[in-house]
Parts: sequence; structure tokens; C-alpha cells
Amino acid sequence: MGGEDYLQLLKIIPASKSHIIIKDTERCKLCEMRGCLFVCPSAVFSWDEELQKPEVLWRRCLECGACEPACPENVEYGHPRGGFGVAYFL
Amino acid sequence: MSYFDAVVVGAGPAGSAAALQMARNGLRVALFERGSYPGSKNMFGGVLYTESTAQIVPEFWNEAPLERIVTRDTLCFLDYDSAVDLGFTGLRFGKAPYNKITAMRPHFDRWLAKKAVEAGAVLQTDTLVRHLLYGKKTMGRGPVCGVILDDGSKVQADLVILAEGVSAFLTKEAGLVKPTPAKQLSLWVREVISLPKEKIEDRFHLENNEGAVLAMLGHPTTQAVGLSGIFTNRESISLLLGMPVDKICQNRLILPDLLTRLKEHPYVRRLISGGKSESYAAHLIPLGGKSAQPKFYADGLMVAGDAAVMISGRRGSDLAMLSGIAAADTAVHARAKQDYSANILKSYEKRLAGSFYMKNIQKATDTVSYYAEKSDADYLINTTVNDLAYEFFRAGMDTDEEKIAKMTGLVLNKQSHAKTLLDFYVGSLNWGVM
Repeated sequence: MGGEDYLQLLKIIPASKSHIIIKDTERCKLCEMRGCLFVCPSAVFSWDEELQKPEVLWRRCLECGACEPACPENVEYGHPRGGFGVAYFL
Repeated sequence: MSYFDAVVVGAGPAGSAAALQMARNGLRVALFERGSYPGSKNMFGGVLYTESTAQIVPEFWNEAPLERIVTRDTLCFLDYDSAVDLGFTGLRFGKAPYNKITAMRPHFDRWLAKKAVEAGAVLQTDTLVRHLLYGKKTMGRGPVCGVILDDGSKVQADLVILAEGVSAFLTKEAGLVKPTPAKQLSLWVREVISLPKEKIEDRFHLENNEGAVLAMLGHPTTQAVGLSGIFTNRESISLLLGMPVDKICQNRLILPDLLTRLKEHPYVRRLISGGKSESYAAHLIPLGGKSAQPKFYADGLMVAGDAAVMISGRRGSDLAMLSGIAAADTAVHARAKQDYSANILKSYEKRLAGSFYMKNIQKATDTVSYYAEKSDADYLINTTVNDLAYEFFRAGMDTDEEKIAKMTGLVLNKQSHAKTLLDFYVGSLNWGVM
């Protein structure tokens, strides 16, 4: 199962706006490492080939915060609003 | 504006322990939790270590929601078609005061926060603390005098204890630590797989409510440094996999895919066969020891738990609680003196320095840099151990001398003797089997 497949096992109440910001999407075009695409345990980040920009599916975020150290230059992670986001039950 | 003696940010183990201890001592404490309930945003393997946890709530095993009492501990070197395990069954650990007990954080954290509330702390969930509130000063920032919540409201307090977890936003905002680099953070993913009680007991050789903990290294993370583990719960097992973030990026690995591969490994597959996936979680653990730790205090401010990188080997949640208590005791002292300045709060650092865990953290070898330079160490140890075992147990037609020569050759062909021993030594420290 990939990160996406595990989503069915989760309870997430997304807030109304994204808590993950990509500071400069132009920079992503030049990125070789593409750390965000690998590190995220729930596949929040993907690359839109057509539009040549990153897509951030923040609603499925597990709030681990790994995206920012994986790309400290361009990713800004902050916790979503209190009461929103993932709620682990086990 | 509401007022409290102390505000605690985060109702995880560190925060609830701090709030509980301060409330016990008559302080008015507000405990803020961004989740809908304590533990809703937390994950560990994992186990509670009874000796340290009992310092917070004596004989907690009589009332806390817990899973299994661990009597079996195993370290397993997994290669793709073999496994070498070193295991111990200690039945003494099956009797009070026990040693380790498996637990689920959404259950345990909720209970610990409830203890803090029973002692008089005020718990407010669904509340993210966005910023620290600073008092006025002629030049620069005054002391911390409260917090600002995500709805913009302010809460005044003489003291703030940050128990906000590994992301440590406010600790960074307060200038106590720099942003953590990827090599100092380990990302862990965990799947909970349900199995009938009898199956768990059969497969892990347990009786009644005994539990087992397995630490695994090697496959499927052999190309990079990583660890995995299994913890038995009453009617499920928790399967975990972790790796430093910089290694994940450098090696272009996707942890949930590795978790799937781990489940397919023959050793693991037999243990979980027929089980049903119940939940999934991901969480960061800070690495790096002493050099990664922040400054622990400032005027009106202290930091405890993962936010203060109170991690030593596999110990983290209990050290979080103990550091929370140390911060709370310092708060009680500060209140008695009516002085919450850094001058008084520095006794928090003294309390920490006298603790077993800080002494361990001080002494710990810098495994982060070791692995940065020698990321092949786990791979070499793992494959060597498995190759040796295959040769050792193979009933062939060699003389004893030929057999020994083959085994020696296996080790020497991969790398020098000295490096093997060094790798093994540092590895054993790093695998955090304690």
C-alpha cells in the first residue's frame, strides 16, 4: 500500500485552508532532489506535469512535519487550526 | 483576558505530567491541546516504561488504559530470506512492578490528561497555541507572560511550559533552538493490524496478557539506515518503520511502500498473516542527542519532552513525562519565590542535569554523524550476521577448520575486522534496544 492507500484507515477533518505553503513554486521546476515527493507518508505532494507545478493535497496531511526539513528552502509547514486535521484513535 | 499561574502547551505525556504536578502543588494551570482529545495527534511504538512512569502516577497500571505487559524482547537482523534473532523472555517482568507495558497513545494520553484535570488543571482541547505572549521591556522582548491562541485570544500566565512535541514551533520562535535539519529527524510510519488474542499469544509465545516487543533492522531498509519494530497489543499488533529524513530523500524511498515490503518479508508475514489493517499513523522523532537540544529555559519559559529532544535510545515518552515533572517542580519553586525569571528557572537545567536520562544523553556517542559517514554500517552488520548464521547452522560436509575458515572469510571479505567490531558497537548503541 502506498501512502494514499492508507488514507482509508484514517479520520481527518480538514480545515478550511491549507496549512502547508510552498514559498516559490517556480523553484520547484529546478529541483533535482524532489524530497517532498518521497518523504510525505500520506502523499500530500505531487508534481503536475502539465501545469509544471507542485500540487499540495493538504487535506490528507498527517501533520508529521517531515516536509519542512525535507525542503527547508521552499516548504513552510504549520499545524492546522486546533480541532482540525488528523485524529488518531488507536 | 484569562489568567493562570502556568500555561502548558500540548497535552501529550510531557505536558500532562507537568500540568498534573503543578496542579497537585496548587498552581492554576491551563493545559492547551490542539487535537480534539489528548493523544489524537500522537503516535509511538510503543511501550510505557513502568519504573519512570510510576514516578508520575504510582502503580499507574491499576488504572491506566494499557495493552500488554511485556515479557519478551527481541532484536532481529532481517536479511531478504533469513533472520537472526536474539531474544529474551523475562517472566519476572510479568509481575508488578513490571518493566514495559504496551499502550495506545489516544487512550493513555487521554487518561493522563484526565489525571491532570482531576488534580485541578484546566484542559482546553481543539486549541492551537500560535504564539508566545511577551511582556513589555524598554529594549527588546520582555519575559514570556502567556500565549496567543489560534483564534487570536490571549491567555496570561506567569509561566509557560512548552510541551509542544517534535515540531517545536514556539521553542524556535522563542529563539531557544534553530530549525532542525533533516539528518536530526527520523520519520516513522505505523500500521495497527488486528489479530485475535489467541493468535497473538500463539505467534509470539505469550500467555494471558503478556506482551512482546521486536526490534528489527536490515530488510527492507538495507540500502539505507532504518529500523522497524513490532509491539503486541491486546488484540492487535503495531508494526513500525523509521528512517532519518535525509536518508529518505537521498535514497528516494517512500516509507509506506517500505512498510508494505516489510509486511511481505517471510519473518513478518507469518506473524501478521490473517490480520486486518485498522489504522495508520506517521510521526517524527528527534535525533541527535546533546547538540540537538535547545536552551531549556528563558524568562517565564521552559521546554520539556520531544520539543526539548528528551530522547535516549528508545526512551522518549517516559523522558517526556520526567522532564515535564522537572519543569513543574521548577515552576512550583519559582512560584514560591514569586520569581519566574531565567535566573530562577535555570534550576530546571540543574534538575535535568542530575537525571539519569540527561547523563545518558550527554554521554551518547554522536550516532547521527557516524551514520552520515558510514551509512553502510547497518547493511554490513546485517548481511554479515545473516551470512554467518547460514554458514554456522549449515550441516555440510566440511571439517571444523574449513567451516571456521569459511565463516572468517565471510567477515573479512566484506570489510576489516576492526571496522566490523566498531560498526557493531556503534550499531548496538544506535539501535536503541534499551
